[in-house]
Amino acid sequence: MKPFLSLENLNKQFGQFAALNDISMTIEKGEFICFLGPSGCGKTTLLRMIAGLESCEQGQIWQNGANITHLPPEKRDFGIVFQSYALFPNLTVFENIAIGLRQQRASKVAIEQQVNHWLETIGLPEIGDKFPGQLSGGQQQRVALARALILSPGLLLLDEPLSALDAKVRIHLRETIRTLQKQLGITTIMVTHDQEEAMAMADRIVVMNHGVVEQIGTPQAIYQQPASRFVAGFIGVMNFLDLAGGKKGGKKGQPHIIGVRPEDIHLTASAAGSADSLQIPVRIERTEFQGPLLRVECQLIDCSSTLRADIPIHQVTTANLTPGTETCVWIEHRRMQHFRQEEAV
Amino acid sequence: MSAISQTASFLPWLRGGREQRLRASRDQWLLRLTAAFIILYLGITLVGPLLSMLLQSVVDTQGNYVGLKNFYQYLGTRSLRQSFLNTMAVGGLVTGIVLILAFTFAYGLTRTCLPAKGLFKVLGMLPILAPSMLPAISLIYLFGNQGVIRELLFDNSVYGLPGIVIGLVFWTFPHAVLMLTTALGNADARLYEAARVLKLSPLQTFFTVTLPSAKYGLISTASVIFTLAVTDFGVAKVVGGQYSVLATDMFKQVVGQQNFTMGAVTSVLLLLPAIIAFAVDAFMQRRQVSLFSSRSVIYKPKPHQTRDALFLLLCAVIALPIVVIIGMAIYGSLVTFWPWNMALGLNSYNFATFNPQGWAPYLNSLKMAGVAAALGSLLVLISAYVVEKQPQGSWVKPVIQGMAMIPMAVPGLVLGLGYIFFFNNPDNPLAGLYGTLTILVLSTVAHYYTVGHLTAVTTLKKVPPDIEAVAASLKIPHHKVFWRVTLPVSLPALLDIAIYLFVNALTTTSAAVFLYVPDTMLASIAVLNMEDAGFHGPASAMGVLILLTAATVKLLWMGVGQNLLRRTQGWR
Repeated sequence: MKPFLSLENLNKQFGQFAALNDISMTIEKGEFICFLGPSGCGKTTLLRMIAGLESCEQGQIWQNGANITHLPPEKRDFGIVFQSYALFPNLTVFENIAIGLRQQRASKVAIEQQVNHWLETIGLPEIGDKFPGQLSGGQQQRVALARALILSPGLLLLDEPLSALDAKVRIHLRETIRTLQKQLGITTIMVTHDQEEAMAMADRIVVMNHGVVEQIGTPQAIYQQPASRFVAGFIGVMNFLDLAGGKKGGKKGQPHIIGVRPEDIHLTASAAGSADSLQIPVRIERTEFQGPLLRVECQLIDCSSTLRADIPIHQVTTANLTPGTETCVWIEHRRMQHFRQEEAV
Repeated sequence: MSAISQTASFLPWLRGGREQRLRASRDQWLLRLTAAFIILYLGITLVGPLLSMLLQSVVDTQGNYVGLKNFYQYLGTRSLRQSFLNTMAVGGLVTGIVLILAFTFAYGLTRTCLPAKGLFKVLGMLPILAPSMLPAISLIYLFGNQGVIRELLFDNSVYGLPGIVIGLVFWTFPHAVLMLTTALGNADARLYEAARVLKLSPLQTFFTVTLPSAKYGLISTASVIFTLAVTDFGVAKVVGGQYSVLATDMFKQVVGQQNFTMGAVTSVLLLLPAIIAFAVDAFMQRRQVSLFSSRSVIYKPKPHQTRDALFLLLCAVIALPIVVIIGMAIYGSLVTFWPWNMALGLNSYNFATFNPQGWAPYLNSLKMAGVAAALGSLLVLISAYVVEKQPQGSWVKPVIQGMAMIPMAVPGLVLGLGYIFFFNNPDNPLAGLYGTLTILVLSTVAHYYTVGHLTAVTTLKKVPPDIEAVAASLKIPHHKVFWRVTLPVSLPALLDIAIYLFVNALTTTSAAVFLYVPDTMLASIAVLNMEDAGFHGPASAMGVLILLTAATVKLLWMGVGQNLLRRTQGWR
């Protein structure tokens, strides 16, 4: 079966600046995709191109079997939610949600019924008569979501929908969005710069940087097998060790860099060697209490690199972690990621 | 060749671009057509006349190109050179005096707990509602040869520099107060708290916190006041006596001697200081760093007995002359025949006795101001909308925006002369407009375009930026969003712009003085003509009538308008 949405070799140029460089991907029906990357990486531009809000200079966009590359937005099939909510400020919540149906000349009864249904769905049945300005940010974004979904579009586009909200509201609303999306089975693309949000919500994440796709994969794959040093550093915390100088575990030949997650570093008092792990003597620099774990910063004794290790809190009592203490860490070889040297920033 | 390549680069824009661009929707077509209309409109009513005027200044009376010869000739004439120096002197004096007075006044309004603030605000705004001839006429009643308090001048004549400066200070004062209250109003209370914690004295605080944050406001104000002062014509015409300035020179050359070429040369000289002031302001604005952000807390003055009493005194001293000047004009208009028959009556308001057009100029003014306000405000809003909705990198945006900023630096007289050259040209298909009320509407809207445009742009920036995108996803056409959302949301600003245009259209003489014919004479021109004919009372009466009309419209707006807004803007 053909994919629901496919992007083929998209390019976008703003003057001299290449905003997007040869972007290709396919998205299946019902998938929840996150475009993730630092600001300026082109993720919002890509979303706007899918919506038809930015022109597409090269490449093609196919949706549901049709070439939509050059269609204006109103000829496409999508609903959209912005960070700024973009509710019509002078219309009531009811009218905001109803306006799409009114344009379709739906009957009064149908409009009434549909809007009330959606107000129920977003958990705000009482607010139809209020104006957007009288609602909290989270409430406004729910209304924007209902407005985007009421015409049952085939594709839902979310442009940083949670970024303007408080932490608690954000977590609550992301659950709402995810539940609703699964219920409706609607193909959804969300742009975000928050990796935690992307990991929690997405079926697949598209990691972008400088207008290029760095990696596409499930949250787990992206965390555990980052395809590049950028992805490794952007998602979660990663220690980078330059062990090219003939150290154990280093691949021979090309100089390269090793990446290790803090939770994969273990402390040990003795320097007992093992075939499937690498041992490094370190000095404890600093510790930081983080609730379920203790973050230990240590300095490698024979070079200037530092390491961050996360030690589960109930394993801490046994070890001597006073700053200045010299000890050893060990890392299993299978937990190490290898990156080419020239990717170093 | 260049014309061909220009057309070639223009065509893709019309067609919707190269193959790769998005296919243009009906919305985009509408936006393009509107943009084309706005550019054409501003081209005809603003750029065309200005270019014809510039062209006229470098040709001789036969129409041959003579380069800068006219300018050499002009600067070679001693009396004309003197006018230029006189004008600069007037500009400098008025700017200096107004800045000091208006800063004190604005400081009192924003930074003290002065009693009767509302009254002072109203008094400070009053002069803006009168044509600039009114204070000049009033000054003649007060200090002229038959003046009631001419002894205060110790045998000095009010005619000349003193009269011009006092009249212009009065007339430009509200502009400065408006700008400086805005500049002083947005103070960050946190900075003042920090100054207190650092134990700075009130004077140190003033120089380290207050003045720096108002610096750019002061520069802008100075630039605006200077431009107004050097380009005004009404005050100098009435009370200038033998003291010649560029504006009156130009009037004499064009209306008196029909020497249009020299008129054009004077125009360019008049344009220069205004453009320099404008450029200085624009340059300084670019360097401005806002000390006030969304995280700032607005400064609210706390009562302080000595300071408040001091400012009550200062503001009263500043406001008193305003009351006296306006009061004198009203009184003068009610006196039957100054100074021989001091009986009060409405004799002077029987305009038919003094002027063949009778009350017609007043009605013309109302009609012209009404149309200018209605059409102008809508046009300004639509053009600001077109500018805001242009895609990134579009050349349309800088073109319209640039044209919209031009009127700020162009004196009304200069624009009016440009209109003569442009519309009185038999080759121009629009020549039929010459001598109609329409051309007065066009010139007024063009002359006051900038402030309206800036207001409209500021308002449109407050409308959520993505609503068009949302509308497209809901298949709602943009023009529907404009009528349903953008227009209602911008309604208060639209009405503000309309009132601004209305009041200015009532009081302006500058562009109109070259463009009226007897049938389309405006009230402000009638003031000028009756004053010129020696009818001070009737001139004063017409001036007072303009003032009262403008004040009534303002009051109506404050009462009815606000009430209307309360009903339609419930969502705010």
